[in-house]
Amino acid sequence: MGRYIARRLIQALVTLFAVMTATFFLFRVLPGDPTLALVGGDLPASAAAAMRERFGLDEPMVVQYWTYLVNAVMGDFGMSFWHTRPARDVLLERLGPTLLLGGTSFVLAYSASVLVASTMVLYHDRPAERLLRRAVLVLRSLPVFWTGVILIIVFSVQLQWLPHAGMYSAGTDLGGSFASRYLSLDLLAHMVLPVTAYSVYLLGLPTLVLRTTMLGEYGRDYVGLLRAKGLAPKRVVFAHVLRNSLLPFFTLAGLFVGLAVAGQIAIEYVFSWPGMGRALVSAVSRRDYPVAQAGFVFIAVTVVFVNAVVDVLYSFMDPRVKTGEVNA
Amino acid sequence: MVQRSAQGRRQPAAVVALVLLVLALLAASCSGAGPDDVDQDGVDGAAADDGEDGDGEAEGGGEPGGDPGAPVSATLMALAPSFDPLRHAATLQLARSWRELGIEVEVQSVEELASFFDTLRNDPDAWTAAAPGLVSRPDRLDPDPLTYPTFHSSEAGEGGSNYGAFVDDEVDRLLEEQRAALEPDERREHVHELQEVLLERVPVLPLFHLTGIYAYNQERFSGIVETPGGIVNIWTLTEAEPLTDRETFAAAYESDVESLNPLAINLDPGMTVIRLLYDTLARIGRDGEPVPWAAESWEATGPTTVEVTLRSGMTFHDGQPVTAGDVKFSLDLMRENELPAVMAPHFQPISGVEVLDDTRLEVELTQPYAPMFVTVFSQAPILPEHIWSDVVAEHDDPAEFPNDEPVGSGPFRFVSYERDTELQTERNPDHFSEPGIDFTFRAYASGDALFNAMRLEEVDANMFRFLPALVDAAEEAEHLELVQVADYGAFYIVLNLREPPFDDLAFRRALAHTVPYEQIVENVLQGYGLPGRAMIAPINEAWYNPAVDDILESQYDFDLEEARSILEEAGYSWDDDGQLRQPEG
Repeated sequence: MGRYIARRLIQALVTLFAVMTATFFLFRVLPGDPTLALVGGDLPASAAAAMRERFGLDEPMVVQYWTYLVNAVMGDFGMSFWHTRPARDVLLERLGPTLLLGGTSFVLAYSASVLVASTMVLYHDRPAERLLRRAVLVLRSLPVFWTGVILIIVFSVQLQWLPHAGMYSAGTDLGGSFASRYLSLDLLAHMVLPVTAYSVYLLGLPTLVLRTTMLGEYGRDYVGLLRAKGLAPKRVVFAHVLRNSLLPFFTLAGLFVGLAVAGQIAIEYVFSWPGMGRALVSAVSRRDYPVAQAGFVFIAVTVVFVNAVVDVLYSFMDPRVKTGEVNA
Repeated sequence: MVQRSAQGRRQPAAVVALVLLVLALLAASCSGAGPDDVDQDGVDGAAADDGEDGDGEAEGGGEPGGDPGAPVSATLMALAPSFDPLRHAATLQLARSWRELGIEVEVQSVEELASFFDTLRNDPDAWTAAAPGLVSRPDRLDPDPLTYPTFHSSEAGEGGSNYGAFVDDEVDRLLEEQRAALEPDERREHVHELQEVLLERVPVLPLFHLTGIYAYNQERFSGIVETPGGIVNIWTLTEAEPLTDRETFAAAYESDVESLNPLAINLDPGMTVIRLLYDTLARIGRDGEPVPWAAESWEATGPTTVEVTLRSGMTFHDGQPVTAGDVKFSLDLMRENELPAVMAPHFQPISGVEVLDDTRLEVELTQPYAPMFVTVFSQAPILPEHIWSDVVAEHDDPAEFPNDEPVGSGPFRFVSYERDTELQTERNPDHFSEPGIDFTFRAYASGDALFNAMRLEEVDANMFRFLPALVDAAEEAEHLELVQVADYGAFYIVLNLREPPFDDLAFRRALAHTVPYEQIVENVLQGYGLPGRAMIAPINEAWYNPAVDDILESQYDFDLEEARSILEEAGYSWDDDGQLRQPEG
């Protein structure tokens, strides 16, 4: 077991290193000069040179790369060109809003997906189930951008029931306390639309995956035995099939997290949500390399970490994995 | 005031797409694929994007030799439509009329700002004409930043801003004289003459000035003042009156301020918003001219010395008095650290600041430098020395100071700030120009969100101009009053005078008749703009020469027949294919 964990850890580190390298060079070969982005136009040669020097952009690429790697390992991604503050702080101070939006949507979407998938298995191939299946497919295919914009037009602009952007109403006194920041009806109202749009986006994939797994499980011998024993279908599905299907479902969590990040960024942009995703989009459009790099590395760490944890936990839950009996 | 012009309006979607692409790479790398694959993906992505760099495109273009009878060809360089659709469309219109005239035209689109300017400055063989622009930025309300770098011979070398290598003694003289004339009326004469001479010499073909569309909530506030650059400005904010009991005036932009530290701010909305917390010696008046603000007056006491007298009785928000010492400290701090970066060039002509007494100081210059009143006096914030002397001691780079609770002496006091959400301020009752409202700045992620905020009365005015596409929707909202404010940025075609026959004045005068202004304004700008002038826009009344209107009408009217006859007279001819040829012998 120890060796397995060690191997998994090394794999994760190698992946991270590769991601860090890729993001560094990706931003440097993309067209776009950070000094021009900062002043919104042409800049006299002398002023541009001074600015490059200030941010270390005058160093050879290899030196910049090395500095970046060494500092990044210690969590220092340099100064944001745009904000003139540490890039890490620029991102991390937006972690709260991102976790709030992402976490709520994640929990909602996954609870719903378990419910919906079980229902679909229970009523497999009945007309209503077929309709539901199509509905889930449609939801799964809707671009998250589009869902968001439609929700805004209907519920904010037309009906004016719910706020369209941001986390707080204009003029809200946030004070310094956690309660004034995160426990208010105003915040709840602001969360409804983005959480809905994001949950709808998240819902489809796990539902369909879980449904397929459960159907596979439903065809196995023990289910026949349970049915023969006289157990009600509902009980069979929820108490037995579902439980046995959660394990493979669980391994996919790493993949889901990776996909969720993409949705999160789009949602934060559409709803002007002051989170890390919006900060990342701004950073890329402004050629603010340090923040953008920190953002992508942060995402990579999250995804790699979740994957590694899932793998390790899985080998505990299903010891056949490490002996190679099952290709998980 | 508005910073960005037509640029970048289409970028957000592209940027989101880019972020998603990078994420796709990440996802691919993390879902079990080995690390080798990751590297591979990175390299592939890099290669694909490299194609857009514009470097490759800058090559090529005919070599229009100076030999007699040679066909006339041109390489017209413009930013790609994805970057600036307006400039690109205007360039295409021009290319069409050049072709009609018999010029062989190749249009090159450059995807990206940096490589565009790099080619303009450093690769004169790669282009014969190009469409740069000077987007509106508060310091460009002064005529000098618009004209001196663009036309002075000292900037004509490689890497300079006089991209087309235009060299003219009379223009040089006028540029130097206007820069040296500290007396506004005298300076105005030079600036007026300069505009006429420039139109005579045709170093550039003016394209257009934009008109910004703004809106405010007319049911909640009155007393909105339009100045070059928009409706959210110091005059609106000190003069607006609430019409209801909601006294907080909220203005919004489609991005947040960069920082609360004025030394780290190079762009709007930060430039406008943070300047409300701090005073400047001058403010730019409604017509574009600097007027005294924290300074009671200033006076040129010699060719290179200006004496400034401060208003008496000013205090910072913490109660400490504002003194001449604070002003000297602030100017020195900014000069020595070249901050904020965008202002750094403007500090160069200042050689020293001398405190005479509590309210008087003397600014010494290395040369007479009139632009200073706009570019320095109206822009440099007065910082409290008692706070910032500690900042300087603790930070190698004072721009890195977060300044979480800004203390200035401006008409608004800082209340709170939540990044990417809003900055709240309240009126400063101790200010010499006490506002009748409190001010809140709100930041949205996109122009659409900003517009919805205005429709839903969450925001009272926009600081970032609307797209023309939103005008209809805005007109439907009864509480919104739409205002069109001309912009003072200038978009133009620079001609590369190194390339024959562009060095020939007669040829250039013929080209002056080839810009289809009506089409550009009506079709490209959808009516929201004006035909280009000699860099200084008509809205900038302080410096605009009204005589320019007549010159445009007679010498820059769109008339290809006129262009033909000018060319014919100068000895140009057309071959059987209609291709224009340079004069024989």
